[in-house]
Amino acid sequence: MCAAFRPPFFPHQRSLTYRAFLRLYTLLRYIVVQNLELKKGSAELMILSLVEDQPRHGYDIGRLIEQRSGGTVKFRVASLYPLLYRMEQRGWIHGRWVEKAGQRRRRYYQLTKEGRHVLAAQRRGWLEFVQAINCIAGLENA
Amino acid sequence: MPEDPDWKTEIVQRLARVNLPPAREAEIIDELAGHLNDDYQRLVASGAKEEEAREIALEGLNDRPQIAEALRKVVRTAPREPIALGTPRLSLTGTFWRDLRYAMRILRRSPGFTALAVISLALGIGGNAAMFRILNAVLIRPLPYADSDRLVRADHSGYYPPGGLVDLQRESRTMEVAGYSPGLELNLTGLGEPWRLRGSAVSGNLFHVLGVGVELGRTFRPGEEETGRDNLVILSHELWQGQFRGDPGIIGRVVMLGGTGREVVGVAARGFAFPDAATRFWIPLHLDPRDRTTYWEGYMPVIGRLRDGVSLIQAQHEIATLSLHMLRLFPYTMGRDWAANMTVVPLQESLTSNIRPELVVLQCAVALVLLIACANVAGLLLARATARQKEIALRVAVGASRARIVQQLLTESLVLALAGGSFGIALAFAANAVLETALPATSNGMANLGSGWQVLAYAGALSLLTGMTFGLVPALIASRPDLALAIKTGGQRAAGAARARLRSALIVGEVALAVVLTIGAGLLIRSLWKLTQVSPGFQPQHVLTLRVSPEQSLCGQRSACIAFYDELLRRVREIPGVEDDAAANTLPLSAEIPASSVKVEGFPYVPAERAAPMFWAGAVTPDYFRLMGISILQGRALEPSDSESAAPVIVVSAATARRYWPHESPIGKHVQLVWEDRWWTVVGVAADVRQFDLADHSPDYIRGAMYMPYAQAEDSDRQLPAVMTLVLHTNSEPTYVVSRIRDLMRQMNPSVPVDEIRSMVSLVNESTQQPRSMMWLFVSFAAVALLLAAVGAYGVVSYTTAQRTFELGVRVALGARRRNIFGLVLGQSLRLVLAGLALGLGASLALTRLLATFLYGTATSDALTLVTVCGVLVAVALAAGFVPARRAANIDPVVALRAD
Repeated sequence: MCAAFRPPFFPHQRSLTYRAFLRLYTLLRYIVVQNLELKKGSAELMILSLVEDQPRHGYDIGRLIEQRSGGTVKFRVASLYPLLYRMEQRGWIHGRWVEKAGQRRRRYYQLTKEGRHVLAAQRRGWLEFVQAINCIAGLENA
Repeated sequence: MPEDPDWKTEIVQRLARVNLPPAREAEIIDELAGHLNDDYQRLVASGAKEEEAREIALEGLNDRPQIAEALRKVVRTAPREPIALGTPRLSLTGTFWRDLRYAMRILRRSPGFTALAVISLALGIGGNAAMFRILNAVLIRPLPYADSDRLVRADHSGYYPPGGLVDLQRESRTMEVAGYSPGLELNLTGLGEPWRLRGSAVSGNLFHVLGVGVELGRTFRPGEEETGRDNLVILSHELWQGQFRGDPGIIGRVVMLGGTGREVVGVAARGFAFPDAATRFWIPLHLDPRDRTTYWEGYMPVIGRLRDGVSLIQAQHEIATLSLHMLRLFPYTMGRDWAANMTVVPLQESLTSNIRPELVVLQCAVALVLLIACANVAGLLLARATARQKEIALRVAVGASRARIVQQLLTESLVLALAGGSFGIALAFAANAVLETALPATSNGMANLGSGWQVLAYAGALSLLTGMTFGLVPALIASRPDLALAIKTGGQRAAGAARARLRSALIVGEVALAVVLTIGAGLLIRSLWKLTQVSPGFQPQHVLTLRVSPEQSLCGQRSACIAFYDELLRRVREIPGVEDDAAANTLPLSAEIPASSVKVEGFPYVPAERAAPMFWAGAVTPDYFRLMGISILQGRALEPSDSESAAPVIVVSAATARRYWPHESPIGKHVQLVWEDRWWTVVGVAADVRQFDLADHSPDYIRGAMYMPYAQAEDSDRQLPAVMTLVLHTNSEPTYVVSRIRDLMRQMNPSVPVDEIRSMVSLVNESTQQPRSMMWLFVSFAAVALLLAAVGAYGVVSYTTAQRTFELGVRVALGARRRNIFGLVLGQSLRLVLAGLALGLGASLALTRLLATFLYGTATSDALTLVTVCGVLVAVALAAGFVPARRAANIDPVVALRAD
C-alpha cells in the first residue's frame, strides 16, 4: 500500500536521503492540496456517521461530536447549521420537523441514500489518509 | 426552570443582511433558537447563572465565519424586493412572472376594486363571447359544403319556375345551376302511424352543386327528373335513423311518400339538411314541359356554383341578361318588373339574411356594453393610479424606467381582464340559451353552435385586447408622476388636471353609450307594448287548432275532399266538449301566405308592365268567422249554401276594400284568379286579421286578403287545398279532445296524420316571443350599462370630492352653507351625466336607426321614450351624486383644514 505513494519521477535516484525527501514532499503536497477538503470532509464525515443509524437533531449532533471527541472537537451554532444546510442541499441528509408532546419542535436529520454513498467514500478517503500517515510514521520500516 | 430568553430577536438581528426567503428564514430562526435554548438550559442546569448562560449560548452565534456569512453562501437568498421596478437582472419572462405575482398581491389587497372591475369586464366580455358564438355559427363559419364560398343564390326575390331553371341550366356559362322547392310537405305512410314530413323537391344536380355526398347509396342521376323516372327519394340521416330505425337494407326499399311509392336511392350524410334544418327528404323536381301549371308557375329559389375563374360580378351580369331573355319564354305574359334587379348573392349571405339584422343589432349592443365596461375599468384604474401616486413616484425616484412602470401596471390590467374573461366565458355559455330564444330557430347554423374552443380563444383574445385598451392610457399617465409633489403629499393632491379631465371624459362617454342602449331598450319596450295592444282581429280564447293532412290526391275529385271535411267536422262536433268547429287552410299569425295572383274588377293591369297583384287567399268553412270572432263589417259571411255548384263568392278584408273601393261598397264587386275566366263576387267585408304576424309584416307583393268558401276554393296549384287546420271551440281538456279526434281519424282514414296541435292563445303568445326576448336582452344590457355608468359617475364624484376636502373645508369656514356644498357636489354629478346624456341623445339618433326594423308603431325618435330616458338619467345622476354630496355637506371644517 505504501508504495502507492512512491513518486514516479526520479526513479534512478535511490539514495536514502533522496527517498526520504521525496516521501516527505509527497505527504506535504497531499496535505496542502487536500487540506481544505480534509477539514471540511472531517466535519461532514462526523455528521454523516452520527446520523447513519438514526435521525438526530442539530443540538444532539453538536453534543455527540463534542462528547465523543472528548471535548477536542466543538461545533458552534454558527458553523454547525450552515454545514447541515449545505449537506441537506446536496441531498446527503434530509431534515424534517418533529414535534413531541411537551417539547418545542426540533428538526431531525437523517441520512439519505446518496449520503450513504458519500459516507462510504469519505471513510475510504480517510482510511487512505491515515495509512499515508502511517507510512510516513513507519518510514524506517518501508 | 428559568424563563427562556428571547433568542429570536438576537438571531433576526444577525440574519438581517442575509435576505432569506421569509418562510425559510422563519424555519432557520426556529431551529437556531431551539439550539441556543438547549445550550442555555444545559448551562443553567449545570449551575451557571442565567445571564452568564445566555452570554455563553449567544457566543455560539458569533463564531467565525459569522453565521450570516455562512448562511448566505449556503441557503438560497430571496429575490430582492422590487424597490425599483426596472432592475435589469431578470429576463422578460422573469420580469413578467414577477409582475404577475406583484399584480395578484396588489389586486388581492383591494377586493372591492378588483371585484367591481372583474364583474364589469365579465359582463362585457361574456356578452360578446356569447354573441360571437352565434355570429360564428351563423355568419362566419363557412357553410358545410365543399368550397362553399363559390356557392351563390339568385337573390331573395329571384324565384324561377322550373322552365326558367331549365333555361338557366342550359344557358348559364358562369355557374352550374340547381333549383329546389322552398317548402314541401308529404305524408310518410306504411310504417304504422302516418307522418307529415318536410322535405324538398330538388333538381338532380343539387347535391353535386352543393358538393355533398351521401352516407349510403347515391344521389340523383341526370334524367331522373323526368316523369316516370322520378319516383325516387333520398332520406335524411335523421329520418333513416328515426322512422326507419337505421335499416341497413334501406337502399332500394320502396316507401310510401305523398301517396306514391318511391324507391330510396340514398341516405344523406349526417347533419346535412338543405334548405333548412327541418328537411327530412329530397325527391326529384318534377320537370315536365307538358305540365304547364307546374313547369311555368311553381316558383322556386335557385342556387348555383360559380365555375372556375368566374367572379360573382360576372355571374350577376349574366343572370340579369338571362332573366330578361327568359321573359320571352313564358307561355303567358310575364310582367317586365319580374326580371328587374335579378342578381346573385353568396349563398351564405342569402341563407342568413333573416337573422343578420338581429345579430348585427345585438352585436352592436354587446359591443357597447363592453366599451362601457372598459371605460369604467379605465376610470377605476386612473383613480387607483392616483392613489398609488406615491408608490409609483418612489419607484421612479429610485430608478425604475417608465417602460417598467407601464409594464407593471399593464400586467395588472391584464390580470383583471383575464379574470373578467374567465367569468365572462362562463357567462357566455349561460347566456347562449337566452340569446337563442331571441333569434329565429330555423336559421342555418343555429342548430349547431359548434364547439366552445373558438369561444374560449375569442374570449381570451378579447380579454387581452380589452386589458391593453383600458390599461394602456391610465398606465401611461400614471407612469409620469410629479415626483416632488407626489412624495410630499402622499399622492393626495398630485392628480393633474389632465387626469381629472380624462376621468370625466370617460364618464361622459360611458353615460353617452348607456344612453344609447337605454333608448334602444326604451324603444323596444314601447314597441312591444304597442304590439301587445294590437288586436289580432280574432278571439283566440278557448280555440284549439290541429292540422289534418290528407294526400293531395284525396282532392283529385273535389267532391271527395269536400265530403271528407264535411264528415270530419260533423263528427268532431259530436265529441263531448267541442262546442263549435270549422276549418281553414292557414291560421292567422302563422307566417304562411297562401297567395294567389288575381285581377280586380276595375283595376286593369298591363301584364307586360308588372306582375298581377297577389291576394292572401284563405279557404274556410262557413263557421270560421263566427268561431274565430272575426266580425263581418258589410254584407254577409260565407254560408253553407256557397257550395261547389253555387256561384263563386268571396269575403274580402276591410283593408282590401279600402284599397280598391275606398269610396264605394265592395259588395257585388268582382275578383278573378288570373288562370281562370270566372269572376268571384264579393259578398262581404270581414274585419282585418293579422294573417302573417302581429306586426303585420306581410310581404309587399300581397295587396289584399280574401276568404273563399272551402267548397269553391282553389289554391295557386288550381286545386282544392287538401291540408286544412281544424279550429275548435272547446270547453274541456284539450288532450281528451285531441285523442278523440285521432281515434276518429283512424276510423275515417288511417293514413292521414293529425299534428300541429296548438291553442290559438299560445299562437298569439309565440308571435310576440321574439320581440319580447329581444326587448329583455336590450333591457338587461341597458340596466348593466346604466349601473356601470352610475358606479363610474359615483366614483369620479366621490373621488374628486375627497380631493377637494381642503377646499370645501375653506368654503365652509368662510361661511358657505351646507346646502351650497351639497349643491356644488351634486352639480358636478349632474354636469357629467347631462353632458353624457346630450352626447348619447345625438348618437342614438343615428344608432337607433338600426333598430327601426324591429320596432312596431314606434319611431326611433319616439318622444315619450326620449323624455323617459332623460328622466332616468337625471335620476341616475342624482343617485350617483347624492352620497358624496351628503358626505361633503357634512364636512367638519376643522378636520378638513387639518387634512393633508
